[in-house]
Amino acid sequence: MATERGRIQISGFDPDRVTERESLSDWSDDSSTETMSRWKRAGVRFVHNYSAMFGVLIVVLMSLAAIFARPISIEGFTVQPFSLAPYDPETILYLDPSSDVGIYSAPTPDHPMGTDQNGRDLFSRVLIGGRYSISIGFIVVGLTASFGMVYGAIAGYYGGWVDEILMRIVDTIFAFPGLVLALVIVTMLGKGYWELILAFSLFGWAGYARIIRGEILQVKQQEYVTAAKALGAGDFSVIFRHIVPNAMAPLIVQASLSIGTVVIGVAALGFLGLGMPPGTAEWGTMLDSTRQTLIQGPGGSIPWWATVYPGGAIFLFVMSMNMIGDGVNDALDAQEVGNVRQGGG
Amino acid sequence: MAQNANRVSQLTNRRRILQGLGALGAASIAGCFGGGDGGSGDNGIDPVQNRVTVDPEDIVEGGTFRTAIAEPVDSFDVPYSSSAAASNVHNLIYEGMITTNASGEINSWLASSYEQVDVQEVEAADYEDYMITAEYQDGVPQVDDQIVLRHPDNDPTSSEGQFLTVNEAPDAVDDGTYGMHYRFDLHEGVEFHDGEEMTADNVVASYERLQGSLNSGQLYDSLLDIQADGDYTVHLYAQLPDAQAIRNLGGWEVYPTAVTDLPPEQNDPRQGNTPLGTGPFTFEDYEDAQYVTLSKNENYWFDTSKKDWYDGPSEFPNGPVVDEVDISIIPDPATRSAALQNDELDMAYGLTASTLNDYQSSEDYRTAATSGAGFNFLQFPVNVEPFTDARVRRAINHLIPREQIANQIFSGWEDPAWVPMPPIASQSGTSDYDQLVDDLKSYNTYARDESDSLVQEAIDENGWETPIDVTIETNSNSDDRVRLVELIVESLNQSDYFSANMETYPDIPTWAQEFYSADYAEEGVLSFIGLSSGFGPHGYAKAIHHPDNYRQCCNFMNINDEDLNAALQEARYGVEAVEDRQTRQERYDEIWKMILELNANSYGTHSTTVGVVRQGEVFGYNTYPSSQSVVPYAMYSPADEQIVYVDR
Repeated sequence: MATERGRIQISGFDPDRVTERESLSDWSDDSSTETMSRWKRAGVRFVHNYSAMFGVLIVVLMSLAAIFARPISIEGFTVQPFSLAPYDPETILYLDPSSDVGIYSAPTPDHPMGTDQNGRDLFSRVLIGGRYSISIGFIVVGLTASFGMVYGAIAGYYGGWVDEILMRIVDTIFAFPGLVLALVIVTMLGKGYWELILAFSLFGWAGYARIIRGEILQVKQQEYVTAAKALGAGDFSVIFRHIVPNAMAPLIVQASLSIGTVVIGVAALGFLGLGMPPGTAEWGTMLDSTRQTLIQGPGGSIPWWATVYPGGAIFLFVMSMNMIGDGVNDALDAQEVGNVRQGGG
Repeated sequence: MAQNANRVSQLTNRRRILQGLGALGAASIAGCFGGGDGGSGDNGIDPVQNRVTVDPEDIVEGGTFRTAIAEPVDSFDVPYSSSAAASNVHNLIYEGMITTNASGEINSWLASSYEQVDVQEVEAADYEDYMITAEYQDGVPQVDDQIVLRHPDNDPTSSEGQFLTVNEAPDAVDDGTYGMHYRFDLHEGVEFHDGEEMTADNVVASYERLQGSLNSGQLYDSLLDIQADGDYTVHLYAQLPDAQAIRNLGGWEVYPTAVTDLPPEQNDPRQGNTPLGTGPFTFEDYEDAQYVTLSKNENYWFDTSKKDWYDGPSEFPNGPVVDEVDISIIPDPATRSAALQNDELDMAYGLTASTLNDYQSSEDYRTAATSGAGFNFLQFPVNVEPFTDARVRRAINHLIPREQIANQIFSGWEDPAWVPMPPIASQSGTSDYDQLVDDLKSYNTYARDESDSLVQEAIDENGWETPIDVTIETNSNSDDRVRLVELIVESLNQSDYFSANMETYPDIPTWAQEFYSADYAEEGVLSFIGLSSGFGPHGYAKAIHHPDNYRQCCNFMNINDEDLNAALQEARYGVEAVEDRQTRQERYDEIWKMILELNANSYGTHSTTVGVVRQGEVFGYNTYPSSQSVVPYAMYSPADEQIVYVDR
């Protein structure tokens, strides 16, 4: 019997087929790129969100208009010399004998938004009005989000009775409507810029604290957190280097949506006569000072410009901020599958 | 008409009120009307602009007159009420022995006649023999009974002082020590709403009801004692020979025994007691902060034939002709305006100036304007540098654009205050108002160059730095006032010498806690507020200058100019001031000049009271100078042949 022993033959294996076959994946060394970070990915998605970008455009334009409306001096030193607004927002035009405008003069080319209840140029006031509303919005959100983040992180990370105490305080704050709390604070402290910031900041952090706590309860279960602890990282380092950065997304979404809410809150207090001192070129306060014109005598016409333009400015800014907030929400939403390329094999 | 409203009292405790008697009667702030002010009351100029009259034959009886006031009735118990709006209700229900028409003339009312029996040269120190000694505690005299007079040498910082109370005053009168003596003879057969017949005892009890009350200071500013003589004669004694005594003393409300027997503050429907008086309307219903309804007093006592002073047609009605008055409480001027246009009201007052222009140009409405009894003013912290220098104050005064204020902010409804007294007080306040304006206007013109040179002079002399910081405070719930201060601030900021800003308080009661405090005069801020006084000149000068009014209405800054104080005393008190009107007028002419030289206050505009009625439905409506009696005056004031009827 002639057998060929000792030789193993493998049939059906054709290395050429393997090396020369069509690639199953389009991956190649050349096509390989570095993994895109979550933030970068979000940025790309945000930039492709046209409504959000439109919001950014409006907010940037309004912010620039507010900054460059009138020169800014700090301790006598002019840091911003430009002056887009044609008139000083405080100038009462009819005080000049040569002026032909009075109170509630209708819009003209010289005064494109007319004049207000004291004969001041409304266009200049609307431009500069953004300084109050926009800056208060950003400062309040910056303060509240930062404090809420730390507060919520501590509550979520330590859990137990610390969490219990901290979150009951948050529950207490949530028992009151935010605007009512702000109203109480302004009534107690009086009107003014920093008073308004305090009014919205003092209790405004609670929402952020609750969000970040919820996120942290999830993130702290992750193995990399256990690993960090096992490697001897301290609590501070674990919270702020490993947990918080991974729990930030919902906080940022909340913050971007809140700016609009704060701005409209400031305007609401202004309209109620509790915001800035009367006569200040703040949008809500401007609306308040023309409130009496809404009901005219018989045959009287409402000076629509006095309410429409400041009201329009509030609308435009808050609408834009909400569009941005929605864009940020879409960009950071981990649940959603978007246009990121998937691997295959 | 003598309800004397005063917010000051509301904010001070009872002791303080007793202590601060003297000044309260003169004037008050922000829409309240200080009744007691002089003016002898004849040859008055009618302040009502374009007065409409009614032919008695055309009058249609019946119907309801609907109007609105801006505040709830704080109390129906007049001695405890400080609201000018509430006085519109009070004056429909209650009446006094005298009444005052729109030009300030005094006429007998519940009294059939009154006469000044006697005037004698007496000073406060002459009562020394009757005074009791009482301790001061924290500057407040520890006296339980109503203080009538305090010894001029009293020093509240010492341990004790001498006081004349209501208990000792009758002894002084019995001995013939008094400044003035008035005799009032009452009408017989006048019935209160509860059917009781009015007697002299009711009058005395009603006046005594003011003792220790919120408004006691306004009566005991002048009153020494009141005594009944039989059933129908009342004797009133004034502390000093006082040119405005009659106005201070004669018009207080008279109540039936059912009211005078009530404890303090109980004469109020909210306490279960129906307000009762002799007035042309009887109380029907009150819903707090909602409405008051009153119905015509079918048993009204008045008859034009009872009055010698009445010289109108004999057919003129003997009381109001509408059956019912409904008064809604609507705080917001725009809401009142809307209610008027929606046919929910027949008359609205206190509307914003720009709205008034619309009403004026509408054929469906009539605007009835009357020169008011007040002005707005800016008070300087005269004890804080650099406002200690009259030149700095006058420089600021020259930067107040009064004409623009009147034309732009008040749409021409108020007049620039060229002199520190509204025209309504000109009867006793000047020998010739137009001449006074001509003489003094230059002090108050808008003159930037003049301002610059005045302040430069002061700066050169004292070495003060410029710009001078000027903080003006006001109350933010008055839109017009805020706009006015904004204008002054802007005007000051256009000068290189001043750096001005405005600070606001939400309302006057909140602000009052500050401006009645001891520290306020030292804070260096300026106050912008309104003053409402009466038909006489004295209140306009004294209330905002005299040390008696420090920490009261309305000398917030402790202004104390001895020459001016002496001139004020001389113009009102003393036999010569009482008996010789011309001398008094000339003395006031001097006072206005002194005031403008001193410039411790600057004046904005003289007020105007404007009511708007529905044309073709409401007939005969005219507005009273003071917002305190807009409704009662319109309903029935035979001295001016004033009556309103409704024909829908």
